[in-house]
Amino acid sequence: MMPSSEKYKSQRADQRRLHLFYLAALAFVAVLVLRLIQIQVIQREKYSVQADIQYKHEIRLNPVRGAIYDRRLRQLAMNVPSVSIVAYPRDIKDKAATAQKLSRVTGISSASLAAKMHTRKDFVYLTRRATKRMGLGVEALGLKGIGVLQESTRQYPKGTVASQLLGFTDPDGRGLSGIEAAYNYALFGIAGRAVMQKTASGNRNLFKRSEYPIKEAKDGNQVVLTIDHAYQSIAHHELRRTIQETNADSGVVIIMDPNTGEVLAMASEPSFNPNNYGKYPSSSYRLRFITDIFEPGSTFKLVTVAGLLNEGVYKPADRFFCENGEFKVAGETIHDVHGYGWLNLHDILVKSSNIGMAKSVQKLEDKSLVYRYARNFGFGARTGIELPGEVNGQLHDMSKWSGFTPYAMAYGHEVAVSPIQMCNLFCTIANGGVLMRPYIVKEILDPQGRVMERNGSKAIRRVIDERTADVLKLMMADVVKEGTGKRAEIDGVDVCGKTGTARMVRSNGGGYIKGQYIANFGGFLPKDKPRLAIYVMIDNPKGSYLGGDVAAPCFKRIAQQIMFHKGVDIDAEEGTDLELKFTQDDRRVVPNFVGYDRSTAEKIASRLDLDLAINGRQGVIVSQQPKAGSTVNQNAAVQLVCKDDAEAAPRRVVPRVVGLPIRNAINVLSADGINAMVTGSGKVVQQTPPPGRALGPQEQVLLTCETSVDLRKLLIF
Amino acid sequence: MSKDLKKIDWMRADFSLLVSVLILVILGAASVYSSSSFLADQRYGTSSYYFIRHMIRVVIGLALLYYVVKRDYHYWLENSVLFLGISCFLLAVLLLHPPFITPRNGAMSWIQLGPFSFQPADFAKYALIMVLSLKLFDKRNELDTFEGYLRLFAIVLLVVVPVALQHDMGTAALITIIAFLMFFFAEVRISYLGATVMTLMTGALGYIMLNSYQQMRLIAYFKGFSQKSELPYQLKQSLIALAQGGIFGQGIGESRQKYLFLPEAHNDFIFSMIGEEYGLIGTIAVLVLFMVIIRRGILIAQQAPDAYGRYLAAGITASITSYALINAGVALGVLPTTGIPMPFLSYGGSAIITHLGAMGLLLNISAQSSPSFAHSPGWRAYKDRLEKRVFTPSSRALVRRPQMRRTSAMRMRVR
Repeated sequence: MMPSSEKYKSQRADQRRLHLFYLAALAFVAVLVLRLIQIQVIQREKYSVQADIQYKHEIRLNPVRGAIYDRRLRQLAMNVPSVSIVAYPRDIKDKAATAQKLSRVTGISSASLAAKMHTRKDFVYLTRRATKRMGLGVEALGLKGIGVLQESTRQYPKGTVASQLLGFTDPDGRGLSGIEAAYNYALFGIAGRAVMQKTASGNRNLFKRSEYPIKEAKDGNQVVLTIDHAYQSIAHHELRRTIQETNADSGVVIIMDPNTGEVLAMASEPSFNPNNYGKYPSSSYRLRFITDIFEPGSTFKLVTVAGLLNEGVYKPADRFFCENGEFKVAGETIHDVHGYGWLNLHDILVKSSNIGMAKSVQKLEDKSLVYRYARNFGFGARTGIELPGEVNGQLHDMSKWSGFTPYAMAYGHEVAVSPIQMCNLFCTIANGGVLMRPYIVKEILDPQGRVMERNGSKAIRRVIDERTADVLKLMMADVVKEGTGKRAEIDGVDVCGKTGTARMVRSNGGGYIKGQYIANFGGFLPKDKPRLAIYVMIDNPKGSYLGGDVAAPCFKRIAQQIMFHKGVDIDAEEGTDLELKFTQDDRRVVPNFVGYDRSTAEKIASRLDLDLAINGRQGVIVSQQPKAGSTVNQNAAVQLVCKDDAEAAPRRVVPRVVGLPIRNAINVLSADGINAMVTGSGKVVQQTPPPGRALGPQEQVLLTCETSVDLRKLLIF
Repeated sequence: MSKDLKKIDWMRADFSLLVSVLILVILGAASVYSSSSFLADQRYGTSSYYFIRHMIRVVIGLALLYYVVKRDYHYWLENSVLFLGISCFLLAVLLLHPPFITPRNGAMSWIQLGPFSFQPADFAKYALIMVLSLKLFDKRNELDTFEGYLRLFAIVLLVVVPVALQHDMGTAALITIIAFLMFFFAEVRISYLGATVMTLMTGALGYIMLNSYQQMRLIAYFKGFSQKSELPYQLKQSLIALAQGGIFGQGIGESRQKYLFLPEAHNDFIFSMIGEEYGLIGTIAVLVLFMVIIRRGILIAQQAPDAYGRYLAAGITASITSYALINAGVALGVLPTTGIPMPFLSYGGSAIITHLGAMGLLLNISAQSSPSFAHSPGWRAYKDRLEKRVFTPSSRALVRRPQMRRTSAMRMRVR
């Protein structure tokens, strides 16, 4: 090796330079540390702004749209989880191959898939509303750039039934028609927002971060309609059948509760399936019951007769000469289907004589009478029902009248009405003369099922006296019994109704279309205590076109089926204190069972989908577990204890006596060993406790009776 | 050079150097996993793709370190010419653009062998350091003349020119810098070095003018100084990462820049990732650990048993120093962006293996230094000291001080 002195010298020199190098490195590190402090401490804010810009991505959290229920809380519209298959075109290398593979699973043509993928967009929907199974299939393929999003789709489990009424939504869940549109504000809910962590690969890989705020979506409220799906279904199918049989263009059926103004059913044909509304013509979306106007014809005669009777101008027995079928007045000729001679007002309505109607208004001093009553019955103005697109109809102002207008109006011409207005006319007569506001939304519930808003019935005005209404009811009952509406007659129940046949007005308003008619029939039942008002309108039936031949049978079938559905006493189901209450889809509020007999309890339980565990074979229920008012799951068991009280034998269950003459009622009750307390005389109109309830040992039944004047006597003077 | 190699008591090797290196390797492994997991998942569907590959190399590197520590460094010096020859051959092969080479970041400098890829430049660099350590002493008399100096300098060009021709300008520049430092340590006249620097600078400028990629980088760097213009993307992301870290960091694995915002996060910009996850504390700790390595390296060079060892230790130290500091400088925007990995930390293919091997050499030299190497005690010295301290009476007293606790009952009795 080298000499030690040289080594020593060299080593010292090396050490100097090495040391220099070390100092230089140290100096550079010092610079780096200063720079680090500058970036990581001093300028931190400046860079964190830039970081936020590239990190944060705000996404919308869609709320779940509220369901729509009928009055019995059957779901008419609901949200079902579905999947959307989406593509991120930038990530797809071989679009043709990807499309081909997808096509095999989804059944969509690969050409259309590939076309959708060829876009500059970052994200594209390939298909929405796909089934969960399809989604799993696509996921199993594991294709790059293809994603499956969990979404929810609006579903209408009842299909075409009540389709126009419910309407439909666009794929993003915004209501476009019907209740969906009118109550979109309530159903939609409030969208939430979430700030997510983005990655540099775009918006696909998003992460939740605890420090980023999330505003959860507020789910939509739920709407409970006054519609009864059973009625709606009957109306729907009968209307459809009638239209098929008569080969008509379209038709409407409305069923209302005349006492409250609740709409129980509203059907219109042609209908569509809201689950794939795109496949149907847009004309089928129309809510014809509120948007279509037509000349009502003879059904409108009720307005004239109601006015004449209410003002006391004529009595039902007043007679008019009906010109044997042809009557010239004010330059026009009025025809009757059959020629008549002398007819009284009652028969004019029953036989539906146009000439008789014209004659009845001919001598009036007050020419505005019919117009006034038409206005009061709500014609020429919207009823205010909660549906979009309602029309006023047409009721010409008197200043625009021709000399013939008063005569034409008397038998339902030169006015234009909507079906809902017509139905409301029948309701007004049925309930004793009070015009009610028709309504279709019963309640609005929050997502948890708590009631947010409740609609009640609303009386608008009294249009005719109760007595006038009673007389009209008698006349209308005769229309069905012996007049034009014979085909609406139903065994065992008094039906009141009125037929109408009108010619179709040209859409430009200039005259009538030859050979095209609108057949309509409205009515209510039972006569004495009406529970249902039904209105049927059939547009342009082929063959027989008379309201009595086309619409009345439809009315009859609907009424019969509803009676069959609910029992002959169509008001039996109502009036108990067992209200079906709603909390959530499968949650039930336990009703009170105590005091009822076993079979009644079972009926109630089955309606609520509750199971009963009854302890004891016979007698009255004395206790229940869980208590009334508590919430349980659907099909939960409710434990009841039945006590076979010696006094409260099974025979002591209160029978139904409403409607019976007082003597019969007392006979029926005493046969069961029940004592009755009676107030009033005549027929029983009310009984407490209601039928089906079991009586305690000392309890009595209180019967309220009223004499109903046989108004028929009024007709025979 | 002596033929008979000494048997090395490697337990005498520099302990603090080894510990510093191991801490950096562990920190590097954690950071490689954190910063590459998302990218790996995106690219290969498994988050540990890069981590596993990195760990395999770390294990190979540590095995190499162990092997090198136990062999007298003279053995490597004797064969260094052969190593340089092989390295130069591989570099030359690269220039022929054979099919097993794939360009990375514009540089054709990687050889792909099955799942492994390596950069011949990594080996060439240390082969050059070894050859220079040998030649700088053997030919020390020739160094006094410019001609002799140039003849030695030609060896450097043997490595640098092929690397530069592969468009890997960063590595080429770094190897030149390391070689220069070695010449500098070997007492070459400053005037000679200055003359070469001037020549090379002119050549480099000419090269940059002709090469658009390099030009862009350099322009971007100088633009960065004017506040108005936008920073180059990588640098901007690097600074955001560091700033996000703040003083205490986002926490282990909490980096968000790794979501592909910061390119090469696990590789050239791992320093920024450490800054984001461990904060200023982490970045300063890394710099301190490197300063420890540099300090120990220089001490080992100063205490080396002979001039070969001195040059070798100094060269290795210069290599680690320039790699670490230039990498950190790039990440902080102090230096123009070049693709230089951070030693021990970066996911850097063959670099981690060669760097750990070089550490083995350094440790070997330290183990052979004179026993009076007081500044850098080996494990033995530490152990002796620790044992002595434990058995001093004073320390024992500190540990076991008898304690009397008065209970309330005792207090009662006192009253």
